[in-house]
Parts: sequence; structure tokens; C-alpha cells
Amino acid sequence: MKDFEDLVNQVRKQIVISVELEESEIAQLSNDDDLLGNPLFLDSVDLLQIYADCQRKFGVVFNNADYEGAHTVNSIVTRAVRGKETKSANAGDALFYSSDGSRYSNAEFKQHITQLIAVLQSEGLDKAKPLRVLDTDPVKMMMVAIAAVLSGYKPLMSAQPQGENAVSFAHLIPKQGEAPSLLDSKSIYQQLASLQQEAVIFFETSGSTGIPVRIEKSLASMVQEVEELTALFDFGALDLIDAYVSPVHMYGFIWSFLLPLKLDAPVMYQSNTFLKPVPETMSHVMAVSVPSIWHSLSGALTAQYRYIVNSGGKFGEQRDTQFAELVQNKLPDLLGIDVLGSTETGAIAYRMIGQDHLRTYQLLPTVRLHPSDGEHLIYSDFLPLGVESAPLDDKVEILANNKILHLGRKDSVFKFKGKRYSLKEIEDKLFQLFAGHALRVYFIEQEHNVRGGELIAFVVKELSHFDITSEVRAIFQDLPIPKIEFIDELPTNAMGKVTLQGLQEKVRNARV
Amino acid sequence: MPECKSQVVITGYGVISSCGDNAQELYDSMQSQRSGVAPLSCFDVTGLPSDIAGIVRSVREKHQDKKADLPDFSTLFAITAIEEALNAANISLQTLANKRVALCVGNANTGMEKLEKGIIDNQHDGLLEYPAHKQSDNIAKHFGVLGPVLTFTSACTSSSSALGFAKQLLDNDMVDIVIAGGTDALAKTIYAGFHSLQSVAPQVCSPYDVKMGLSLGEGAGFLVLENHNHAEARNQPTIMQLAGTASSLDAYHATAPEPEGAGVRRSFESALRSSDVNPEDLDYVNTHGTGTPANDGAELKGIFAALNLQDKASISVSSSKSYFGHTLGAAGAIEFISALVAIDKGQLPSTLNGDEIREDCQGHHIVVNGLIDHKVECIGATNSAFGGHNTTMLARKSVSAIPKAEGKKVYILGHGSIAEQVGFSNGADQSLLSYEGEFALKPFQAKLYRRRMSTIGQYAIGASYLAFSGADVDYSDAEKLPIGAYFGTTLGASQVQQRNLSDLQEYGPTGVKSTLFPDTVLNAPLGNLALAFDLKGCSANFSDLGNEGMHALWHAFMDLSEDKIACALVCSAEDKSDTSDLVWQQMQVDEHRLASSANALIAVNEKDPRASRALAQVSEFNAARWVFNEENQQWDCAALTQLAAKPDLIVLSMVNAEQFEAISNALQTQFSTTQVINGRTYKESGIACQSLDAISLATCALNGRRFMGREVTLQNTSKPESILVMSVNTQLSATTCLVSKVKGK
Repeated sequence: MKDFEDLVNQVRKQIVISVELEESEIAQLSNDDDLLGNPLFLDSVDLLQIYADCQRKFGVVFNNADYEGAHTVNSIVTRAVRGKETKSANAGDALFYSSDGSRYSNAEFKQHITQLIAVLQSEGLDKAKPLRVLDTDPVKMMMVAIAAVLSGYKPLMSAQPQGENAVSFAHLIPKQGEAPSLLDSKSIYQQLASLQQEAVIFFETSGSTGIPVRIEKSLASMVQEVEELTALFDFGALDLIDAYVSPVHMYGFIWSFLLPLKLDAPVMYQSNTFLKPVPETMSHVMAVSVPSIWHSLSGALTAQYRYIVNSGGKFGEQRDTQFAELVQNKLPDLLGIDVLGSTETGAIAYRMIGQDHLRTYQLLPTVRLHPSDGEHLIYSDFLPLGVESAPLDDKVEILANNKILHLGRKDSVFKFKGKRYSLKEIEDKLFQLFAGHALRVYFIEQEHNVRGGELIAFVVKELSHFDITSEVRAIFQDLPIPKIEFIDELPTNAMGKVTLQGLQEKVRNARV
Repeated sequence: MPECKSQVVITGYGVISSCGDNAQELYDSMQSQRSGVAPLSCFDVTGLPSDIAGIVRSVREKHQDKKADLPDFSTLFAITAIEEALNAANISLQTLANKRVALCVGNANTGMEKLEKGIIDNQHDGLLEYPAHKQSDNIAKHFGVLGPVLTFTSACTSSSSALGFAKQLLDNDMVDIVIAGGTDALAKTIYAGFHSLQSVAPQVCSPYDVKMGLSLGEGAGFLVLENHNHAEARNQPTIMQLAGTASSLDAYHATAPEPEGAGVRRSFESALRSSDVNPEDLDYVNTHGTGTPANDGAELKGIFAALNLQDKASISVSSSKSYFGHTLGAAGAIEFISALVAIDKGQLPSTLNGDEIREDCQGHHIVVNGLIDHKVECIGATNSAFGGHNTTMLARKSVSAIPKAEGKKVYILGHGSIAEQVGFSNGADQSLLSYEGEFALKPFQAKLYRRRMSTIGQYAIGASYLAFSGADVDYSDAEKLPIGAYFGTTLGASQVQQRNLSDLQEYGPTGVKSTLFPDTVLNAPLGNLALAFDLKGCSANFSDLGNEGMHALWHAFMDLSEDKIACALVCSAEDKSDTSDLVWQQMQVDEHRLASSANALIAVNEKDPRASRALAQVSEFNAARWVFNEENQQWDCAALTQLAAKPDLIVLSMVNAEQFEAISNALQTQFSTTQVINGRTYKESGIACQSLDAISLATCALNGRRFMGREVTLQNTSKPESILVMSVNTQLSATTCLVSKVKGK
């Protein structure tokens, strides 16, 4: 109590200095008076200066939440005391570096989750339906998702900003009362690892037909995937995960969130627009990336980086050569891991970038592929909940020593006016028609369309309209001719992928 | 104004920013959604929570080794941008030499790096390049501009203000070509200052998004403006017509905008009124959109209140600041150019890095994460600044003759001054107040005083109060029409700046105080005036090296003449500090005779009923540099060639006393029988106050009144009818106007 009173006196003295008050003015101020109101009527810039000076004076760091609520002498003292406690609790702890610049210690992360769990109990949300997480900031998104899953909800990770049965960090956290004590002494990773199969997270992908697809993954399967990866690779020395992939995607959830939790290594989430350099004090860094950012990332790589993991698309021959040159000339300790897999399958196989053949992958130890009717079925613990095996969307050839040769995506067959056609065949005709231009072709199934759906192609070309001439008909012969949309470039999403949704949006925007 | 029409067109532009050294590179950046905001390396920002900004690397890296010998980077940025603009407009240096050309430069913080080095590292030579107007003077000399050179310093609205005044110069046929825009170079003090206000985002800013905060930047953007007939005569295609410009004051807060956007609304409404643009004509508005919590929602409210449209998504809006950051004094021009660059390709600029539109900005069509294809005929652009200053520009592709009302007559209604330990107003020949040391507002007018008010702010308010009293204008009348406010200062609050630098030196960037930083912008006293007297009309802030007061009056004259306002306060002020003394030493001005001071005028147009008790009429403003003609061994000044009237008296006020005789003789040669009196013999004016002092002196001479308690001695005429006032700055640029008797009095 005496300490508190001492701090009160120190804060009062600081206010006089910070905003150049006269003694007669501060004498009128009680410790519970609002500093912005009677009797001082301070200004917002005054308040900022008082906080800045108090941070310096008491050696604490206030975060944004500290600037909300009432501003009195007593509340400033309380914040300073709390700041000192937090500082002491966080000493030497690992951090989450959010892309918005905020930092969270493990203790803060856990504390927030504890608070969110308490608030979720009284929110009246539907536990049977997917609970949409609205946050875009990766750390807040993860805090809400983990609080939800630990509370028995089924969080839905999606890039869509709206939807029913939805929550966000901003909506939940202001409702907190006094912070509850930490519920569990175990680490968050340990708590997640102990969850049963019923604890699930939904991941929403854009879907190949333009309709978002939800994939239900059990926490247990994803934890198992992390365990298998850490058994395969020596990640023990990593002191930072430099994450270019948001945990809104399953690939990011595993590599940019669960893996750092497992390793107790800090993770720095990067924004799409701006690459922030990693702190100089870090000496063993792993970048979690997608092929589309290689161009920007490769220039920023330093000797601090030990691993680059890639997934979400083909790394490609040119990047592979550049990677090998980088290792040979500049960064001899750098290793690259190219992971084959998808949200639907989980990780299937991997190859070492710059070392292994471009199309030869090593299957993960617990993944099995079996030939079946000209395709392959995958048996894996990393498949969606309740799925024991699934047909592989890729063409592969099984090699010796649990290796596979990846031969690209399988052709899609669609039913148009009752007949079956190959999408690949349509694509070949379009390449013939628009030689040298990038393009994509899709069949969008439509329930009420008598043709069964819409066949649409997006072509990167400066044209405004497309006439079906006799020449075009001659090329396509008996094949259906798609509707053609001309665009200036193929748009990519945050994962560097071209999606039907992105293409449709581009066409819509061009018409505005 | 022979035809009373406005047809000012843009015929070229140039831009340099962190997104590249020209317009094409800017477009490439915009097209690829690449932000120029990146980690800072040009100065130390240790301890600050963010370390990114939009820096012009090309120029900084090129000149890194010889920085001390160069002008401020802002001069170099401006030269690059203007060269591109002139090339685009097909104007050669020879054409510039043969035409009536004006240069209007906006800047907010130019020279700050020179000031930091000068004060903290004792590199005093560099202080010569610190004053804001020094950059404009450098640029004018580089391109051989001999006509009006005006420096606009209303912080983040500086360059849009410059563009607005450029239009007025052309509308009034005062010049053939105006090069107008803005330039600004980022410095540690500024970067730290915005951090003290907790305004800086840790990542690339994303205006309107839930992620809050701004990114800072630097660069320059300039446009070539001319009248349509002038462009047609030289077969130069037009890019767009500058159809309307306007400004306003919030009178709300030093840094925060009025939450309902009332100031933005007034400015936008005024721009619509002054043009023939209707709200439904607008396809797009390029907003100020800083990314801060206070700005974005309030600005949108203001814009759409002015437009009064049912569907607020019917007009696309975006802020360009994600591309190159907030370039402060250059922001208005660079952002406007970013819109022109995109429009040229049939597209609209966007805000980058968007995740989720924040609550108070929802429902609008905000262009996010990539240019969109959009045909455009008519656009708007808005900017806002510290001090609550707002500007609006309207532009369209097709050129039309916008009708203009005949110019209104403009009168001086009252004047006041505080200097030399006394205060005067036109209402009394005796001093109305006296003080020792520095003037303190609190004992004089406690109601007008606010805690921690800067010395210059106190002087400005004190002098303005005396001017309002002398003019018998009740500024407290809640029913009054918006009063305009125009301010001139050379160095601004130098005492505050000195403390600010001292904090930076002692504690590093984290030591810069939120309580001091807002007062270091050159228009901070203008914000003080707006708050003290509830001034919400048109506004501008000028800096020069001696003529800023008259430039402020010139702008007020233009706005009053166009009837944008009916009443205006015009004020100039300066304070004295060790810092200002060091600067004046480098400028070779005798600093010992300079002291803190302020003066103010109240001006009205003929529509204001109070015009009947006017003291004098003002007209015939002009400006040009004095040049010594080697051929005929004479001093020439182009500002005098357009003067139709023959004055009965000339009041000459010059900072450089040693050139007084030469200039006085040159005037005497042109006006052989006219007496030239030295304004400085009646008052030892400082730099900023000398030109308005000269106007007040002329007003007193016309009315046979004392000036600062001193009799005005006239030789040839005891009752002059018209007086030519000429103020000459340290760079020998002159600004002139005619002060004449009110007809019928």
C-alpha cells in the first residue's frame, strides 16, 4: 500500500513536469479525477506525453489496451504496476511478433486465451456449427481459434470477413472483467496435443469451382503431422520462425503456428506488402514461404536463415536453380524443404530444394499410396476428420525407397449437356487459339443450369470481346466452347495461387 | 480577368517518391501493388516502435557523401520532379525565361535535417538552407523563375494550397504559366514527432482498414498549369482542367480533425460552389486518408456530407498513402498526381495492405488492394493538416469555361501590432498594452490563452485581438459567416523547435514530446488563431524571408475578391530564440535587432456591411525578383511593369538594409516624383512582420494617423491617395500591392 501511495506521488509530480502545470493546478486534482475533464481539462497530446514519460520513469511498456478506459492518477499507477509485473513475468520468454507490429510473450498469449475462454462461455454461440474467426491479424486469429477449440467450439479459419456464428478478438476482449488466473499450467501446445479427435478446426479454401469448400481437420492429426516433421528434421536449434504464410491456411497453421509452439520458438508474421527484416540477434531462422514470394525473399536472405520451407505450389526449375546458386555462393548452411500436399491431404511428401530432382519426392514415413483404377489412393493420418483414404488429385509414379515421381495434376472431367469432357482437352484447344498467352479454364457446376454448369476461360490478353468465328469452331470441333474473359494478368492470392474466385473478382472489378 | 471565366488546365506533371523517380515508375509500383515504404537507414531511429518510411533512396544514396555541401534534399527532389513536369508540358528553360512564370511551392518540414545538423552537430553553415522559403528560392533560381515565388507551409495541405493559389493567379491573368506543387524531405525530428503522437503504423499503412496508423514518406510532385487558351496556342494537349479549389479551417484541435468532418465539408462545398462541378459528376475522390483513427472516418463523413448523395458507395474513394507514405508538405500534389497517373491508364489508385474496412468507414466504395479499371471524367482530392486546415481540388477531363463573378473590392478594416514592448491598434494613437521581456497573453486576455501556448502563438493572438478590436469586428458572434485566416511566418515557433531539438539531442528519438511537436509545424500559430477566434473560413499559411505577411494578405485578397469569404484575419508573427539567431547569422541578417513580434489586419470585401468604415482599399498585388541588369547597369523588377496606377507614395521595406539605397533609387527612377519612405525607420520589424508592417504604415499614412505611436512624415504630399507598398526579402524578391483611399470617404 505504501508502495502504491509512493507511486501516486511520483505520477502526480510527473504530470506537473510533463504538461507544465502549476502547483496550484495539480493541487485541485484528486487521484480519481479524469485527466481529460475537470479540473485540468488536459488534451490528448498531454495524455500521450504523460504516458510516454511514465513509461520511461517506471521502465515499463504500455500497450494499446492501456490507452483505453479512464485516465486518472490511480489508473496510471495501476497500469504502471501491471506493466512492471508483465515485464517481470515475460523476462526471457518467447514472443509472437504480429504483422501489425504488436508483440506477445508466451505468457501474454496464454493469458489472452484464458480470458477469451472465460468470455466465450457467456457468448451463447453455437458449438455445433463452425465458429467463424474474423480476425486477420495472425496472433489474434490464433488466440481466438485456440480459445474456441479449447472451449469445445469448432473454429472456422477463412479469408471471408463475414458470416454467421462469428467472433473476433476485438469483439471478445473488451468484454473481459478481471483477468482470470491461468487455467492450466501446461503449455498451449501440450494442451492442444492432449485433445481428442473430436477437437477440430475447419479450413475454408476457395474451391476449384468458385464455391468455398470447408475442410474439417482434427487437432490431433495436425499435432501428429508436426510431431512427424520434427522427428524428420533437426529444427531444435531454430530461434525464430519467419512466417510468410498466415495460419488461416492449414499449411500456415502447421508450420507457422503449431511448429513454433512445439519448438517454443518465436514466430514473426510478415504482412503481404512489406517484408520486415528479422532481428539481428536471431541466428537460426526458418522462413515459411510460398513460391510467389521467392523473388522478394531471396534478396533478403542472410546467414541467419537455416531453413526455407515451401509449399502451396510448384517451386519450379528456375527458383530451384537460384536456390542452389545461393547455397553454393553465399549461404552454405541453408536448407530448403519443398512440401507436397494440400489442405485436403495434409503433407504427403517432401524434397530438398536444390538437391533432389525437381519431381522426385520422399513420402512422409506414415503416408502410404496405393494404385487403384489408374489413380492413387492416399492413406494417411493427416487426412480430414473421418477420412481414411482419398483419391490423389496428382498423377504420381511410385519409386523405390518410399519415393514418388510427381507427374503433375490429374485431368478433370466435367459433364456438359449430359456428355463427359476433359478440361485438359479444352485447355489445349485454348492454348492453340491464344498461343503464348497465359490462361485458366474452369467448369463451374450449377444445379439449375440445364447444361450442368458454366465452362469459362480466363485469358491474359488485351482484348475486350471474343467472337466465335468459323476458325474457332474448327479448332474446338465437337468440344464445348468456353465463355472467354480477357484480363491483364492472372491474380494471385496470399498463397501465391491463381484461384477461380480471384479471377472472377478481377473480371468484376474491371467492369466497375 | 477580361472574360470572367476560369479555364485553368494541367499540361504536365512530374513526381519523385519512394515509388520511383518519375510518373512511370510510380505507376509501375501502383500496378504491382508495391509499396515504397521500407526499413529506414538514412537516420537513426533507435528505440522507436517502428522503423519504416517511404524514402527517396535514389537521391539520398547518390548524394550521401556530399550532403553537407548540398541544399536540403527537398530542393533536389523538387528539381527532379519539375524537370519531368516541364518536359511533359513541352516547356523549355528558354520558354520559361520569356513567359510570365510563377512558382508555388508547398512544404512542411524542409530543411529539418539541416537544422538538426546545425544545432546538434554545430554545422552552422547548413542553417542557411533551413528556412522553408530557401528551398523555393533555390528551385526558382535553378529554373530561372523571376516572377512570383510563394512558399506554402500549412503542413500536410501545403502543396494543395499551392495548387489552389496557382489557379487563382491564372484565373486573374497575372501569369502565363505556374509551376506548382510540393516537396518535403523526412528528418529524424519529424519521424520521432509522429511517433510521440503514436500515429505511426508498424507496417505499411492501410487507410480505412482496421489496422491503424500512418506511414511517413518524402518526395516531390509538381504540375504545370496554364490557361487553356495559352496551352492551345502552343498546341499542348491538356491532361485535366483544374475546375475548383478551396480551403477551410476546423477551429477544433491542434492535431485531431473535427470528428464529424465539418471542416472538410466546408472546404468541399466551397470548391463545388467555385466550379461548375455537380456532386453527381464526380467519379472518384482521392482522399487524404492517413490511416489514423481520427482522420479517415471523419474525412469521409465530411466529403459525403458536402456531396449530399443518397448512396455513399456511388463514388469510388481511396487514399494513395500506402504506396509512398504520407509525404506531408508534398502530400497533396503527389497524391493528386498518383490519381492522374492511374486515370491516364483508365484506372483508379487503391489503398494497399487492406484486410478489413474499419467500422466508421464501411458502406463506401473504397478501392483496396489493387488498381481498378474505371473510366473517369471528374475527380476530387482532399487533404487535411495539423492546425485543422483542409483543402479540396476538383478536376475534370473535358475543359469548360467556368463563369466567374466580377472581382469584389477588398478593404482593410483594422490592424494591430505587438512589438517593442507595446501593443497598438488602428483605433488608438497611444499604445494599448505594454510588457517587459516577452509578451504574455494570459494577463492581457486570459480567455484566449491555453496551457503551454507557444510564444509566437501568444503574440499572434494578441496582435489579432488588437486588430479585431481596431476593426470593431465581433469574432465571438456565433451567427457570423466563416472568417478566413491567413498567416505568415519565416521560422515558426523557433523557441519550441529549440526545445524539441534539445530533447532529441538529450534523449534520442524517443525523447521528442507530443506536447511540443505539434507546435513545431509552421502553421501551428494559424491553428492557435483559428481556435482562439473560431475562424472556419478559407485559409493559407506562408513562409518567406521577408514577404510572407503580404503573401498572406494576397491570398486573403484573392479569396475575398472571389467572394469565397467576406471577412479575413491576416497575421504574421515570429519569435526570437538562440536557434533563430543562429539562422539569421547565416543569412547575414543582423539578428540583434530582431525580437519576437506580431501584427495583424482585418480585411473585408465590398459585400460586408462593415466595408463602409474601411481604412483603405488594397489591390494590384504582384511579385518578382529584383535583378541587376548588367547591360544598362540598372535594377529591374518585373512586378512593377504591370502596375497601371501611379502611386503618390512608396513604402519600401527591406530586410537587407545595405541594398535599400540601390532599390530605392531604382524606384525613384521609375516613379520620379514619388517619395519613397523606408518602412523600417518607423519600426524595426523582424523578417516575418516587415511586409504587413509596411501595409499598416501605408494605411496610417493614408488616414493621417500615427504608426506605432510615430508620426508619418511626408514630403511631397500631405494627403496621398494611393501608396505602393513594396516588401523585399533577403533574396531580393519583392512583393507589391497598392494601398489606396476608399472612394467616397
